[in-house]
Amino acid sequence: MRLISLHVRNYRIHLDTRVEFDASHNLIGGPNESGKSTLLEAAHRALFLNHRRGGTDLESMRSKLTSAPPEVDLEFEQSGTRYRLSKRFNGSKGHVELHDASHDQWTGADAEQKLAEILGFDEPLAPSQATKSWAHLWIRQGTSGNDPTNELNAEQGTLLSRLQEKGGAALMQSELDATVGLECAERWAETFTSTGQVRAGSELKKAETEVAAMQQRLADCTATATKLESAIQSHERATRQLEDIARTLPDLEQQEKRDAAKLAEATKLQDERKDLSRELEEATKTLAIHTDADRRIRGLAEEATRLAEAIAPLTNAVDAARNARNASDEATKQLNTTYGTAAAETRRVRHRKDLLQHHIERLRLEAELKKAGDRIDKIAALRKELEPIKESLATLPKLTAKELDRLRSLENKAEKARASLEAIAAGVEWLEGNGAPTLDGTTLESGVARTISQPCDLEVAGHRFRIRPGGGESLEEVRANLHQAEASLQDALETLGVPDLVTASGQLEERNARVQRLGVIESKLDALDPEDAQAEVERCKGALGAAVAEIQRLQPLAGQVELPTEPAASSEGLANASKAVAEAEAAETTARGSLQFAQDRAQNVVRKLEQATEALTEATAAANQTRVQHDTLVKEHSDQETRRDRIARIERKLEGIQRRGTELDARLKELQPELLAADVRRHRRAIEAQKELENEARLHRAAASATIKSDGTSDPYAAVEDARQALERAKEGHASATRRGEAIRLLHGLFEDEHQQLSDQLTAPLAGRISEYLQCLFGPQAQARVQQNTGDFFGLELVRPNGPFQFEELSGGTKEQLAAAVRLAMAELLAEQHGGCLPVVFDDAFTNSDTERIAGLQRMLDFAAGRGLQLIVLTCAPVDYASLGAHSTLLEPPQPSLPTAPINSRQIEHTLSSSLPDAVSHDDTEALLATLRSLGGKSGNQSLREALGWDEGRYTSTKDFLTDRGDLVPGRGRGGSVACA
Amino acid sequence: MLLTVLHTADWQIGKPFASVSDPDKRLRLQQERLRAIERIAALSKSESADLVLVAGDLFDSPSPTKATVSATFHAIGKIGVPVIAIPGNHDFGGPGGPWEQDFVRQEAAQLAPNFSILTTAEPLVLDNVVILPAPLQHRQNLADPTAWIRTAFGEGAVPDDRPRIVLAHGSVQGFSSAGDEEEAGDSNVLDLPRLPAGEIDYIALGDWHGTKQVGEKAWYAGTPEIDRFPKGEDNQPGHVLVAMIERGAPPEVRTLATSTLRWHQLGIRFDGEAGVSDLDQRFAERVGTGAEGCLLLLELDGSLTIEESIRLRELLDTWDARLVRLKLRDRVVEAPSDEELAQLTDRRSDPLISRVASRLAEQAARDGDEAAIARHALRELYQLTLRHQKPCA
Repeated sequence: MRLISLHVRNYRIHLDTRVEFDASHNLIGGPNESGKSTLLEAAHRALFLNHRRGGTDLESMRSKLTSAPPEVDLEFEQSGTRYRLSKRFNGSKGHVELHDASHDQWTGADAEQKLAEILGFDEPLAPSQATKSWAHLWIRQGTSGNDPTNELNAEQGTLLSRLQEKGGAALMQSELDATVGLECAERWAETFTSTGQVRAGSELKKAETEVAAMQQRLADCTATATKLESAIQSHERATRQLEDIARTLPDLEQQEKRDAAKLAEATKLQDERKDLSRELEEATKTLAIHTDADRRIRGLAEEATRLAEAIAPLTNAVDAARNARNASDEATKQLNTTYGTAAAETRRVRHRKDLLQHHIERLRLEAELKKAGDRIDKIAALRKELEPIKESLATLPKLTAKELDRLRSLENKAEKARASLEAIAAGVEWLEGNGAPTLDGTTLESGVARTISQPCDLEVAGHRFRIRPGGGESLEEVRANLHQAEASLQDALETLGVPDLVTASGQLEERNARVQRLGVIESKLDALDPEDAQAEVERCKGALGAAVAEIQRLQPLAGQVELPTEPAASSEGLANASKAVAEAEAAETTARGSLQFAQDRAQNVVRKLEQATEALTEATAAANQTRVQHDTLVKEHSDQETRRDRIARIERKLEGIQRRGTELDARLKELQPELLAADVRRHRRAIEAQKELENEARLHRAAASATIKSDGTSDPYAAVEDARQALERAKEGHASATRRGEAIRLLHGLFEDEHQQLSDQLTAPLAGRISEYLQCLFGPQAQARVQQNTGDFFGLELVRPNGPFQFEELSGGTKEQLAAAVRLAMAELLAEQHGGCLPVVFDDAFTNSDTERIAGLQRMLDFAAGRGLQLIVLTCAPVDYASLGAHSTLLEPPQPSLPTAPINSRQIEHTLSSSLPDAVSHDDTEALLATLRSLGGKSGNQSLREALGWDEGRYTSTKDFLTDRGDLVPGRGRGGSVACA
Repeated sequence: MLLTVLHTADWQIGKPFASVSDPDKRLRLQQERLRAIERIAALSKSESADLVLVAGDLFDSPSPTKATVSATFHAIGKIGVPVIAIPGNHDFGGPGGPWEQDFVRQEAAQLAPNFSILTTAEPLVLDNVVILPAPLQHRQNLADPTAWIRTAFGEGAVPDDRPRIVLAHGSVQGFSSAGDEEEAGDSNVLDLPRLPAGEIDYIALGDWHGTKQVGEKAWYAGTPEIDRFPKGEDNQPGHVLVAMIERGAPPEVRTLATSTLRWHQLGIRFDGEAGVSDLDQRFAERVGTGAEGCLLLLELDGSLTIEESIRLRELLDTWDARLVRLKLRDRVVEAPSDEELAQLTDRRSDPLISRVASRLAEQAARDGDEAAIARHALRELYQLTLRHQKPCA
């Protein structure tokens, strides 16, 4: 079917528009609102909408510019036959005519019927279906990016039969296939989940559960039976143990009893042995006591006898000692008298000798005293001679030779000065005359020249003369020198107390003579040492006094003694006296020695007597003590006979005890009591242990018996067998269910697989054609894929080297292109039903495609035309399709100046474009588009609305309208954006 | 003095038959064992037996339920003559065994005064017979329980004027129930040759479930009611023995059948020759309808088409219902016939089924589990397809 021409009248904007169609390539251009879409809508309605259709459909077709009803004349050709269709839409007054080339004519319902048949329908379409029909061929504005599979499904029946024809061997699944496949799927789904797991509640799951339950039951039953078995074994073990104990225990008890008896005997013997030892000890002790006493008594008796015998010689010794002492006393007395006489004589002669000695001393002292008196007298004479010298010396000035020299020097100096003066000065000498002249008041002595060294007044006898020495100034100086020298001399003289130098010299001489004399005398005095002389006197006087006193003391003691006055006689007397003293002293010494000897001997004798006496006393005491002891012991221990009997008796008793002890020891050794005790303990322990074991075994047996004792409600062994068999059956059931499950899984899987293959085979021609179109756009590797199930198409995908993409994943532009490819492929497949050709209308269908793709699209469209399709492309940008090489029709924009009266915008909208919704005005659409272009063709919604100064509602409705119409493309971004299409 | 003894053993009352899943059928199997006692009572009367000897395993379990115990002694009490039993390995005499349970003793005393259980190894001297029991004290006894009998015939220890019968339970030299029972072979071994043959007149044995003479005077009575599928021709269970015994004379022994339930065995290999209908025919020949108290061990081999397989399942379902027990050893491989396969694969109108079937057939032709699953899936597909396809015109 191919459109040839279209003539539209009174149809909305088109009062009278005519379009001629090229057989393959058509481009209808024109700005917005020029009625491109309206034109093709009119053609569509002519084909599909009943001419009697009224209501809103009719109203939407009517022109606002005329009241005449809309009319459409369409010329088309199908399978070589040319048809002319004229439809006037006017509700019930509508009209239709169909003519063919052979001048057959149909009108009214016949025409509609014939038309439907030509278009491939059994009967005219209901109005509700009219708009949607051939949607795959009439691609309206804004629908080009929709998923075309819906359109595939809309043409499903025809398409499938075409595909089956194209696919050759490709077969559609039959109803039986579907039923069986579905049942397989259902049965598979009953058993398995979509992930292939066994489904809860399925037979297989029940079988699995049953196996687990039966396994548990078997385990439980086995446990019960095992418990019973082990109780039986425990019972048997306990019984065996009890039997063993029953055999062992009596033996042990008997052994224990025997050993206990032996142990008792041993204990008794040990006690006895202990008593015996004690007895033995006591008897031994008693014997020792008695034996000892006896021995001591006999010893004491012997001792007493011996002591008594020792006393007699001691008594004799005492007597002898006493006699010796008496003799010694007498001898000592005699010697003592002798010694006294000798001592008295010695004292007397010694006093005489002392007296003489002191007497000689007295004589010597008296002579010394006389010598000392003489010396005292000489000293006194010298001192008397010294007195006048000292006195005369005191009258002389205290000059020295050195001072005299200085005086001389000073005098020389004065003399020289004077000489100088005199040499210069005038001399005056009064030689004689009355009345002594005076010079400057000083009376001149006659003959004494005076030197005048300064003007001075000489008065003579009332006359006064001024004498002036020559020499001028030097005189003055000389005179001053003289004066100074004289003054110095005078001072020195005065200081020394001498009148002049001569005197001084004589006095110095005098003085020196006297000093010399004084020295001689003083030397003599010093030689006599006056102080020592006085001391000598004193000393002699003292010593003499002492000697006299001693003499007076000794005279009465020395007896009658002649004291010669001559020292020599005295010395002779003294020698005699000394001799007498020596003799008397010798005699005294001899007497004293004899006395000493006698005294020593007497002392010795006394000591011996004391010793003898002491020895005697001791011996007597000892003898007495021994006797007392002896008597006491005898009194205690009886007499000797008695004592001997007693000792013998004790000894016999001891012997008996020892014999008994030996017997006991032998018996005890035989019994081995220490081992016996251990044996008894061991046996008792063993018996205890056995009894404990017995108790334990009884407890075990009782416990086992309790377990073994059947309550008779069930047979545990049979229960195990039951459980085992039940498990076997469950396993069989499970195996069977598994087999069934696996079989259905396999069956289902194969159905799915084969079904897919069938589907792929069926859709292959369609996919192949779509791919061919796509390759015009995306290159040789692009492929399309589409799936089909029981006739339903789905799963449209674009396959490119970077992967398959589902339709919904694609961008807006690519969606348009893929959808166009699908529609072209469909049209190509379906065209054969319509004489090998079908028109395909693209109404602004590539608004999202970029320039490069538009170029590719033209290649695709041309390829479609080459395949026999009639392409009709509607665009507001015909220049984009310049390379399509199409037959172009350009529609003029509407004349906006048609209405003259000032009418409101609503009326204008209706006038210009009945498709404008109430809320949208033509001016607004133009204003929005103009503003958007001024903003660079692209803007955010917010900025654009503000630029227009519109409220939200006005902006949104206008924008939506333009978007729907395809003039605007919505963009992304916060708050959304729009761009010029 | 001639003594008529009914020798029996291995009653195994209370055997659970756990492998039978249907509770009613299990009950029936258990009940039949109790009824065997009634039949023994009848035989003891008809044979004018002086004594019934039970050579062990009277009970199946060491701890039978009270209901089992009561029912058992009630049945024993109906036997008009003394019944003397020994413990076997199932109902051993020691602790844990039934004979020490108070309730068992009570019920024996109250319901079966004619019953004696010999749990000690000592001669039982009765007026007309001496019983030399060899009771088992435990489930497994390493010592020969008859050992004591070798030296039991001292000077005047046992009267010599009446028959002497050894009553024992266990396996004998070169012949044991080890293969028959689960227990290992080293325990409960009876060394019969060592018994003084001249001193003994009859040896009544239990344990082996078939009836069998194992010595000049030694017999296994076997179980009176068969309790398992037969194991070879040699095994003849389901009897009691009537023994005429006299001191110093060889015993006269007769075998009487007592079993009610019939335990059958059938095997078939499905191949080109034999099919399901052949099996059906053989079943009818061997078992009859299957509803008359029968049990069957059925061993199946070979391969079957889907249709035949479906037929077989239907048949087995019927038999399973009728039989007291159907024990199946099914090694049949299900392989669709070419026709069946063609029904699935040659479906131009149903391309999906056809293609799935082809792939399944390919997979089923291999070995192993996957092939088995594929076969199963193929049958499922076959059945589904046939069920859903519109009836052909």
